[in-house]
Amino acid sequence: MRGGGFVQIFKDFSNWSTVAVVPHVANANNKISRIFWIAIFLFVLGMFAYELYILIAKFFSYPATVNTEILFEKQIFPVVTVCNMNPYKYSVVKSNSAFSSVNTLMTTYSDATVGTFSTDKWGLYADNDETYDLDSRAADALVLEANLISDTAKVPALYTYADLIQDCSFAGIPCSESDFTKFIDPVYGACYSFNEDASLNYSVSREGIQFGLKLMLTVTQTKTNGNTDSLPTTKLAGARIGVNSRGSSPGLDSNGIDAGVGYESAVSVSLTQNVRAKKPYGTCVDREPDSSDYYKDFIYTLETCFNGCKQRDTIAKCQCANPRLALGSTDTACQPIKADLDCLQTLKGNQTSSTPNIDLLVECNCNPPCDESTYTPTVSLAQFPSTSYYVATSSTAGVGSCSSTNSKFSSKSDCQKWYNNNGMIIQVFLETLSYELYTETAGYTVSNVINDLGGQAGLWLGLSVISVVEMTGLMLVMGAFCVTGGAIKMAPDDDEIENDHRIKDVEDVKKEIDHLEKKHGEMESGSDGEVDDIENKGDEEKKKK
Amino acid sequence: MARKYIDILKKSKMMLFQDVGKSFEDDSPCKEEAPKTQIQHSVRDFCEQTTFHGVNMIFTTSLYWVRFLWVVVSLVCICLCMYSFSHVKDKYDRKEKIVNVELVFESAPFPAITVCNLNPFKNHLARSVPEISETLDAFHQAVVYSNDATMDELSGRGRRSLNDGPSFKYLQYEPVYSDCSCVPGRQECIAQTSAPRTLENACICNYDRHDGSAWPCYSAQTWEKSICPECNDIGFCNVPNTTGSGNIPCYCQLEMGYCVFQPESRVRRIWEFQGNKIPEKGSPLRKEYMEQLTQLGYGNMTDQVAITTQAKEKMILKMSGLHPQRRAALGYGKSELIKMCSFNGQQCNIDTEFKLHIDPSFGNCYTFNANPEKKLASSRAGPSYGLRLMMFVNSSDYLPTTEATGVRIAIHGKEECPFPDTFGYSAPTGVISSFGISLRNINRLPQPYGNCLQKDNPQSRSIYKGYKYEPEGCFRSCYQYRIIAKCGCADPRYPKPWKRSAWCDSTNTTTLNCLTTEGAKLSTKENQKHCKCIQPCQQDQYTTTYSAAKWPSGSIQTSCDNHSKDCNSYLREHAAMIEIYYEQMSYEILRESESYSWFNLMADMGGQAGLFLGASIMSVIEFLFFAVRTLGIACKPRRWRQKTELLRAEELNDAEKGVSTNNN
Repeated sequence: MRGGGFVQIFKDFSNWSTVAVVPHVANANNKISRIFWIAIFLFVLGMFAYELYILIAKFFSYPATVNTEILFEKQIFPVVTVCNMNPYKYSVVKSNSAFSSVNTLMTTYSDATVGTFSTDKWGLYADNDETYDLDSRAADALVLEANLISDTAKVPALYTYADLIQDCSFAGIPCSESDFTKFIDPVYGACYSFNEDASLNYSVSREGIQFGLKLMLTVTQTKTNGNTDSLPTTKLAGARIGVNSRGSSPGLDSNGIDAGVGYESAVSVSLTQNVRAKKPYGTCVDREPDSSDYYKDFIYTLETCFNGCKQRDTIAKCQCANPRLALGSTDTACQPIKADLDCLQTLKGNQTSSTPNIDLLVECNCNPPCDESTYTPTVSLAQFPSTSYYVATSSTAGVGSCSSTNSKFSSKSDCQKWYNNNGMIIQVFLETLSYELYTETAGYTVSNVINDLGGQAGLWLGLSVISVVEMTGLMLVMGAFCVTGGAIKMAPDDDEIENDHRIKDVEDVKKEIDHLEKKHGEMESGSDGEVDDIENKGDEEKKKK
Repeated sequence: MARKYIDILKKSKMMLFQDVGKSFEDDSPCKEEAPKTQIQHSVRDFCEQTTFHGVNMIFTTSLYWVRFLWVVVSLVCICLCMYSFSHVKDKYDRKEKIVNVELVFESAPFPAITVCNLNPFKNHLARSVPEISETLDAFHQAVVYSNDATMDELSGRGRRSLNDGPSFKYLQYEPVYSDCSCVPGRQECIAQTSAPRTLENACICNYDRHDGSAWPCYSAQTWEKSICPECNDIGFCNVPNTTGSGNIPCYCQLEMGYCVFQPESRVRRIWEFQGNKIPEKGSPLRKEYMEQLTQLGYGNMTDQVAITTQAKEKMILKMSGLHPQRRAALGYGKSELIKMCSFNGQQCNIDTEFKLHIDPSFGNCYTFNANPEKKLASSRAGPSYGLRLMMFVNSSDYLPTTEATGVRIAIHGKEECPFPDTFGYSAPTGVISSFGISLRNINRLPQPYGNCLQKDNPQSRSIYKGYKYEPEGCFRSCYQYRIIAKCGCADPRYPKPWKRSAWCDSTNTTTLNCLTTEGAKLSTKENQKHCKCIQPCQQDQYTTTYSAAKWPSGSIQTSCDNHSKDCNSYLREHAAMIEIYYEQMSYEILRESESYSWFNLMADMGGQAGLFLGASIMSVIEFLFFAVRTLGIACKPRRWRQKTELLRAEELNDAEKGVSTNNN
């Protein structure tokens, strides 16, 4: 009874099921056909299960797609930062009392370079046989000494806008000091950033050198009276140029360009934008956690993350912070003493010695930023100034032009020689308005899974959502059958058929009709004349019935 | 007993007749409802046989709650399917692009290289052109004034105009005012460049425009302004009341008995364009100095950079107004500029392989590999297999407005017009400059995916005929059309679109001001919106890396033309070495293609229809067949219905007749 009920339910289901192969199993004529169709069903079911597994595994691997778009549109001009290679004026350092320590350091360094060593607090005497280490230690000591002087006391020795920038024009239109943002760099002193302020809207709608920024800079390593104004530790005569997007840290140490005196440097830049995907598709982050974010005022980049990591490493090993990098609110800067300088020197080793230096890629856990704009520069040069040029300047505070009325020089060629040794022209422009936008997006989304699932289900089993509902109904019916223990009847049996009252009524009607027929026969033998009429009527009745 | 039987039979007979009547009455409504029945029958057949999942379930069950459940499930699935369809359709309508990067490992064709001197014209030749000489003199005056940087309020405004009359293009001598020192007892005086106190104390000298000398000089009181009948082309005239019939203004020296042609209404002052100081305060000549400065276009201008830029612009305008042959004569010759050339390790023919291109900013430029039919390619990567040039720039003959010394280089396609003032690289003297180039071939998609110009589209408004489309050429064409509309003449720096347009006269002050004003307006942001310049669909992009080294080295021995002792110093000052080569023998092809095509749309829709409905194309065909059949049933004409009714009525009559026959 129980097995028969299950079979009955299954046969009924298979007649109207929409799953492929199932009706064939139910309607098979013999055992061999039924086994064949069951085998086919199991095969396609296995294939579908395998494809389903592949779909799920592909979705949970979170693949990312990088779309490359080449866009052509008007661009905001990047931020151009210019600094003098020489951070402080030597003439002011020698005469200003606030810079007495720096002056002593410069004197000691100058003596050390000619072989005269004395016991000093910076430890320059310890590098008497390594000239490179001597330079490196002196440069670090200068940064540490300068860090002790407040920004207000530094002002006389820093280069002002009029000292550094003699002429500025953007797309042929003159610009002014208000277009620049000044900040003090621990290594380069005063730096000026063009187009840093968000209220300025310098943008470029045409490419080329005529539609960019043009600066004439004077770094004044020698004054007009012949005295040198560069610190003895300054290695280069020129300017440090940084090109970055607005809001980013200039990163002059890692991303800057050196521009030498006596040249017109044409810096053409091209823009590349990256938009990356976050977890689980990518590894990008918008910012570091607040506890370890040393560059809160700037847009997050890999460079700021590495710098913060280096600073934490410096604090852990030397118990003081390096002022070249950003300091946290609770950090103390290193002091210009031999012990701190020795510790800073040990951080400059490599990773193969017995005490390896920090490995940024392994120890820092820095992730790329989610939104990044990078400018790739290409620099070409020309000699500046030409022998015929009189060096036009728009600044009244500088040396002036090389005309014959300039009383600072004895001749025009002397003036041009001074500019060749102290001045340069910088031109920054966009090489092309086309830029590449790399967008990292999810490569396999829920929509793709649904599409592929529909395809696979339709291909192997002819399945759909309604098929799933059908099978759910089948399970419900089977469950109900089990619960009721077979009490539900699908079809009546023979005993019930005999006892049905409707069948009895039909049989009673048959008996009455038979009885009437017998009576008709008797009446025919009883009467002659009426018998004919009765027979005719009886025939009519039979025909109509 | 027999009667009872008869009564029973009668009753049964009556009952039978009643049944027959009922059957007839029941049949008549069936006739009227035949079309509806057929439609319902057709619907039932379709629902039972369709391959849409869920629909056949509704009509194969007799339980109403199960039927309702199937209806709900079907509707939910249809809604989900419609939602997924709209999602996929949105993705298709976005028309996203994808860029395929393909690396081709074969030899790319070498681009065209245009080289120019950073100085456009030779100084000593440019001085011989009157317009250029005047521009440089005005430039000198403005610079002298800007050094003093003292501002006075200007009052009044004069107007400078050239006299009508015969053409004096090659005028050499003209009268000029000068400060001088006179020797007592002698009539002749010696000119000085300082400013005199008054004009009465000054002298008037014969000024030679070619060499800038002013000699001889005589006191201003001994000169007289007059009208001369005839003058020769270098400036000397016949004295009045002699032969000739013209009316030419001139200045006559009364004691010496000769006259000089006066080219302008105002006699020039030598302290303005050769002196080093402006007149002192309180002097009446100072005010005159200021007025003259304003007329020259440098009024209130103390910014030397602006003065230099203004002078450059004016010089370019005036030089562009010259005839191309004459303009080329003032620049650098081919063999003069390019001293040595080799390509792919072989020496190249400088005369035949370099084509002249006159640039408005840099004068004579020469293009290597300009012939589109001749194909040049480097056999290998590296500087030895590219183009090597030695350029001689002769920096001692530079114009005073040229800032830097060196060479200007533009790298572009063969069919593209070079724009070295916009897309170019500089190379200094005394240095060997290496330009490593890489090629990227960019193929963009046109409308409706992107916005780029097809190669087949005609460029009806381009002023650069014979060249391929470039956005920079489009901008300059837009600028030229605007100048023609606003100023009524064509900017001589660029080609003109029609032959009937006149060039702007560089000597006309109104025209110059219009050109300067409109040029400044066009460089602002808002005005560039009118120029709709888009990218071409096919473009070759060359990216360049630059490196430099000192040249020549101390050990190399070279020979110079002037046989000077220190040949290396001479080359370091006046010559530059250039290398242009491919960095690698492969190039990238960036090809845009559609990210989501119609085929993808069909595939995704099929997947979703199969998932939610179990539907396919056969299901759609089934539905269409069912719809056609139902419409056919519903739209049968009424006449056909009447015919069927008549036929049935006739059948009934036949049946009744049969009955009556049987009765008979």
